[in-house]
Formats: sequence, structure tokens, C-alpha cells
Amino acid sequence: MAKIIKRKSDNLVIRVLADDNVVNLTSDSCTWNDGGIYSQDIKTSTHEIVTGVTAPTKFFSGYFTYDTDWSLDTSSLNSYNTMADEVGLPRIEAEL
Amino acid sequence: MANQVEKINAIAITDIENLNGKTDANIEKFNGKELTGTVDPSTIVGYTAVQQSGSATTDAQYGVNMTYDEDNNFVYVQYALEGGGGGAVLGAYNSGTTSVDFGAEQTVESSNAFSGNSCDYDKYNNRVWSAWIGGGDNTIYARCGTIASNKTISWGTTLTIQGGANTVSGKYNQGLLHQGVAVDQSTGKCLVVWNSAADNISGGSNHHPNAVILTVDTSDNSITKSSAVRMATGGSGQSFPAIKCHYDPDNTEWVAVTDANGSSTGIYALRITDSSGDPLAANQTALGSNTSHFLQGDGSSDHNASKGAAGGRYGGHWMVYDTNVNRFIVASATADGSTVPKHFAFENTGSGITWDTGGQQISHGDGISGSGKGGTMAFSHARNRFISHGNNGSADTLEIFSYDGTDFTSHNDSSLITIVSDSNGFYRGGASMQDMSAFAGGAIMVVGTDYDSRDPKYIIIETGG
Repeated sequence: MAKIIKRKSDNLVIRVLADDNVVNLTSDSCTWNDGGIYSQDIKTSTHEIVTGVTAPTKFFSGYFTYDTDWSLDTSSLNSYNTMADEVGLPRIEAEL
Repeated sequence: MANQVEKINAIAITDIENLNGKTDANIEKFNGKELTGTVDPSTIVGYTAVQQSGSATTDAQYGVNMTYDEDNNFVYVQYALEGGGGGAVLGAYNSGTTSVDFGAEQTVESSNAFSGNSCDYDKYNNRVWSAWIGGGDNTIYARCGTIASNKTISWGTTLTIQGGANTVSGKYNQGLLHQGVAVDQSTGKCLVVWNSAADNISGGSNHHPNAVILTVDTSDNSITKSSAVRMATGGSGQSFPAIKCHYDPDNTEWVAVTDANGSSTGIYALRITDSSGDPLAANQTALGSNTSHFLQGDGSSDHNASKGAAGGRYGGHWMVYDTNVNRFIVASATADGSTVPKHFAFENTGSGITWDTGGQQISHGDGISGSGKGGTMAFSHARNRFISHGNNGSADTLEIFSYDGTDFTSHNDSSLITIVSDSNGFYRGGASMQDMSAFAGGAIMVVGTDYDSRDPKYIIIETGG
């Protein structure tokens, strides 16, 4: 099982972490990886942590939402990868 | 600086290896007398993982870059994150362990791509600037932050420079290519160059090179932007034209290189000035007499160069400023399969561009590939030498050069430095455009991405001199 950090306003999932990952979400910021990673943009007023989630096969933030189940925005992902192929950028890999 | 010291305690200087652990190249004066000496090129830190709080980061999604904060004597390294978004770490050189002690990862962007990520340090405002292309529709963003002595960053709000496909229907911002940000160190204004979705040539991704000038409000690190202005006109000559920029401290203005020139392509340099708050391009001037040399391809198909002195489309920095001779050095790429890439020098006089068309062939690896081959350039302010590197199919090799205003010299063409023995290591990287002489005894740091693991790596190189 996994632990996720998601944005409250639209359920956009920011990170998928192992269930035992030490996350500290406060009113000012958030750390995970036991303090190894710090974000001043993630805070209790805008984000929440959900535990006991089954992780998707391949996660990439920006294309997944989670309410009671996962949703992948394949249209946006495919548009991005078509553009990436055209200009020689690395493709983004994401899979439910 | 002239050498005024011949002997110390009756021993000739050339017979003394070091004084209290310092080699002569790192001692400027001895009892008030000037001392000049030499140090040999060497690898101070070999191919090593960038870390976050002591653990190797495994985050890079193909793209890492760096700059240097002289106030804190920290390197700033930013990279795309494996699960989306971008992060940065700050590091101090540890001479005891000959490695860099990195702090916790600071998130720059939480989601989506962090493409073409570019950065520079602002010594006027003591801030770090970052720009990237991301979001769900290839929006180009910028952010400015204050670096603290505990290796944390206080970021201002993220500025949208130009929306992508959701703002300009079906058009994606492109062409932020790892050297798309440069700070005017006399004003703290930050230039960003890229191919704007709002200035389309054709299709969804082929746009003219544009620029904006950004200004930080130091009370909260928020940013305002100027109008976006076209810097060069693309066309049929080169699809997806390229532009990269650098600050010119002698003329207190910016300089860029581009291959956008209507129906033709090649290597061009231009001046960019601050004209009442908006960027203004002037004096776009072609490199002459070298018809087989380009920045990313010959225009017969999209960025089709197969050899490059700094990786072509898949490289990091294509340009350095040699503060000793006041010349820019730019790396070429070639597409005919046989022409060896070169470095070329040009001068910005403040009213025009003058090229030295002679150039210097490279001996290091020159492979170009979206699958792991693409080098970068870096300048050592301490030694007045520059480096470039690239992959030869089995290893990534590094060469050290200097330019005296007339002639180039390769200092190790017969003894190249091997960064890593791998066919696809150390690409899509960068180096500091700021003087990092105080960081590691005059050595310079260079970053790149390991293609197979996608991890950001670094090396520290003593260029000698």
C-alpha cells in the first residue's frame, strides 16, 4: 500500500510514497523522506495526506487524480508525448 | 600578476610541491610578494551522485543544471524529479572528504515536466533564478528565491511567463535549452530566452525565439515580467530554432547565440539590451567561413546534427564568457557525419559582434543523441580555461582549452579526462556561469544526467593552469 499527498481543490496527486514514509504536513510546509525533501508550497490549508492507497503502475505528478479511485488524464498525457516526440524531449511515462 | 618570488628558504619554487597543503596556483602572495605558479589538470571529484541530505538522489527525469552562490559559497543544483516536478539542493564543498555536502531537497515545482531547466545566480539581489517549461500544456515558468545559510530556499510565487497549449490553442512553448536564463549583475534583471507559443512559425512547436526581462520584488521574491519580444526570426531554415543567452559583464548587457535566420541557418550571435524595460535584439551577426558548422543541425531535417562540441540539441551550455580576454566561446555541431565540431570565439564590442572564424577542433567525444549523449561547456575563472565534454560511444571524455584572443590551445587533447566509461552517461547538464573560484580551490563543478538511471551526477575538475 502507499501514502499519497494530494491537492484538496481538484484531487491532483502530487506524490505517491511508501506507507512507512515519514511525512510532516504543517500549516507552513511539508517534508517527506524523513525531512529529506521540503516543499513550501504544500501545506494543510491546500493539501492532505491519504494512506492505504494502492499505487498506480507508473506514477507521474500532474496527470493523476485520486478521490476514492485513481483517474489518469490520458488525453493530456498523449498530447504531451506527441509534442515531446516532435521536438526530441523525453516522453513522460504514466500508467494506471 | 607577475611572479616576484624565486626561492623560499633557499629552495627554488619549482622544487616545492605545496606550502601547508596549498599548491602554488592557490597562493597569490608570499610575504607580500606576488607569486604565480601552475597546477596540473586533475579530477578532484569523479562521477558522483548529487545527494539530498546525505542520500543519493534518484530523481532526475533527464535534465539537471546548476549555478553558484558566492555569498554562501554553495552550489545550487536543480533537476527534474522522477515523479514529476522539479527540485533543487544546495551544497558546500568539503575539502576533508573531497566531496560536496548537500542539504535537503527543496521543491521548485510540484508537478509535471521540468524541461530545459535553466538557472543563474543574481549577485545584485543575492537571489537564485530558475526557469522551466512544464504544467499540463508546456507553459514556461520562472521563480526567484533567497538562499539561506542552512541550505534552504525561500521561493517567491511562481510566475507564468507564457501559457502553452491551453492558452494559445494547440501551441507548446519550446526551446528553453538549459542556458535560457542570464542575470544582469549590474541591475539584477533576469533575461529568459525561449521559443514562444505566442509567436508561432508553423505547427504546434515551431516558434520564433523570444525574450522577456524579469524583475524581482525583494520584499517577497515575487516577479514581474516585461513584454515578450522576438529576438530572432525563424523560418524554413531551421525547424524548432534554438537560442541560448549569457551576461556580458564588460558591456553590462546580454548576448545570445541562435540559429534562427529566416530561410537559412548557421551560427549567429546577437546583443540583447534592456530598452526601457523590454528586451531589444541588435547586431545579429553570422559566423562566416564555416559552412559545415551549426548549433543543432543543418536545417535539412529537425536538429539533425550527429556530432557536437557541447551536445547540440541534447547538450547543456553552448557558450562561455572568457573574462580574461573578454570573448565568448561557442560550441558548434555538425551534420555531415565527418566534420569535427569546433569552438569559435566572438567579441561583443557593445555596438557589434566580431567573430574569430578560425576555431578549435575538439578531440573529446562528440556524439549527440536523445538517448544519453550531449555535453556542456564551463569556464574556470580561476585558471582562465574552459572545458567541454561529450561521448565517444564508450566513454564520456572531457577536454580543457584556453583562448588568448587570437589562438586556441587544447591542454589535454592527448590525455583526455574520462568522466565515466559508459555509452550514455552525463548528458542534459550544465555548469555555473558565475565565478566559483572560491568553492573548491579554483576547481569547477559540472553536472549531467546519467541516462540509464536518470540520476543527476556531478564532477569537480581542476582545469590546471
